[in-house]
Amino acid sequence: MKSLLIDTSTSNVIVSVLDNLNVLNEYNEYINSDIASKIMKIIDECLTNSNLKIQDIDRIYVVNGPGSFTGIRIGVTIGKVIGWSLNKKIIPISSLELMSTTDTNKQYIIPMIDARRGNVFGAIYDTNLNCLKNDLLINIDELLNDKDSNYELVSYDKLRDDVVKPKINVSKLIEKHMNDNGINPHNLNPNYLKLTEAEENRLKSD
Amino acid sequence: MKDVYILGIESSCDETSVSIVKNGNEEIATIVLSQMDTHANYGGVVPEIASRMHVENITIVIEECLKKANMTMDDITAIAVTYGPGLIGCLLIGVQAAVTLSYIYNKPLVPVHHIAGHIYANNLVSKMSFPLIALVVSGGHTDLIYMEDDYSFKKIGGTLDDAVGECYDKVARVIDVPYPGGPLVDKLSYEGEDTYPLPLPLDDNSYNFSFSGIKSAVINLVHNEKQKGNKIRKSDMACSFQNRVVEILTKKTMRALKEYNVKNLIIAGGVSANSGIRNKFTELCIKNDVNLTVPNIKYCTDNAAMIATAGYFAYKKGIRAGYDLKATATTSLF
Repeated sequence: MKSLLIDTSTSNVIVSVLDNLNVLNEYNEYINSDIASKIMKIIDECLTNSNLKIQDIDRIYVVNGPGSFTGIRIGVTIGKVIGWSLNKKIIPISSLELMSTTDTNKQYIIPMIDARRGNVFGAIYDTNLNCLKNDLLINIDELLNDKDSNYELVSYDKLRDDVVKPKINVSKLIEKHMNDNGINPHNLNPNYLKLTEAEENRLKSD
Repeated sequence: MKDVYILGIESSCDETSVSIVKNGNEEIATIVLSQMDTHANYGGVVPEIASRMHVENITIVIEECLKKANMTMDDITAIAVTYGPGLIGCLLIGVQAAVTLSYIYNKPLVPVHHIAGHIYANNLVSKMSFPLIALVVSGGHTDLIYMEDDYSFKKIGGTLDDAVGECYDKVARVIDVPYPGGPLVDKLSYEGEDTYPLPLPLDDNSYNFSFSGIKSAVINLVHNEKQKGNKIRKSDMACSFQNRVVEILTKKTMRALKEYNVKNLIIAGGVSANSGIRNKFTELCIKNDVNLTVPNIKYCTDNAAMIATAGYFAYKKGIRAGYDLKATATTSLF
């Protein structure tokens, strides 16, 4: 069972090629700008380094948010086209859940992505990737209110001093989702967790 | 010679479109998914909403187009895509989809400039004859282009500020005509008379245009009339405005044809659907023995048929992009 995972939801781009739970090749790096024009070469390199072609892939995992709107659209568009072309279903993955694969000796993980103005995209997972608080857009103080030392705060962004950088473990994620049915590629869509400003203003004025 | 089938993808603004064109002149199938009704709620295109709708629909539109053409990706020779100019978030979706298709099916990727697409919409009407002058009029462009041959573009003039379509939409807003204002101003102009004293914009010896002056003149006139408690005669304003725009566009274009000794004129872009512009050019071209081509109304607005058509000529010229093709919000054709 060959799998491909694509995450362009943050500047920390992840592309992983696996055979069952065994990572064959992985790209996991910070990209400062212009992910769009770099991502296809990264995917190609990961496949080539794994001695595979895109047509060999059985399962496609695509991080569809939350995160950078443009970023998740890039990953989702690629995922949709690959899935449609190869006639494969897509398994949508939360960026926050992927961050929660970070190894810790604490009981819970709070993954966070900076959403500006004091807000984060955040959630709470346990170390077995069970979701205790769904992905949401929330004020950081509200999310972290009463959270004691049982919680590991994980983020690529320097939101606070006690935040640790994610250490992604794709095998752990795939293990959790290897039996997911997945969805029709046409129905794979970004999970923005936020309306556009224009829509919000329109709702307010109604 | 083997037939060339180009799959074109266009997503530069508020239309998600995919088309298959054979040999650069025969449209096999085109799907255009317009978001206009959504954006009408906001009085104009909202870029983030447009990007969101493109990503939702892109694979559905690709699939529909192939179905309509009764073809598969294996029948396609190359993939052409609009890489710019346009709304960056929107362009990205089409480019990313095209790059991914090109990668999976191992097909050449051909980058197409949006304006080249508008110009080549005319090749679906009749084979373009060279040399020619192209007048590109749209919401983002007002350019006079000289083409010696296929896929060679030399700009001889362009707008120094607002594009003509942009100016139409602003004037529409000022005189309370709903979005999209351009076509409605055109329609209204036939119900009115040329009574308002508006200036002829940038009436000089260059081939450049400037529409900010006439826009300000309309705004000031409307403001003054309102202060006096007078009602604006919308149709008269539309007529006066349109007459001035048509006059300067035709005047400079006809002069360019004469000076470059060219007998072929094509008009392209969204505003080429404007009946005032079409009628006046038709009249002048008959009088001056110029061969005029205007695109079918359905190809005036953004569509992928024009991208696939231009893509054919770019493909023939050996223009290719790699997987690192960049979508660009502002990019020059010249």
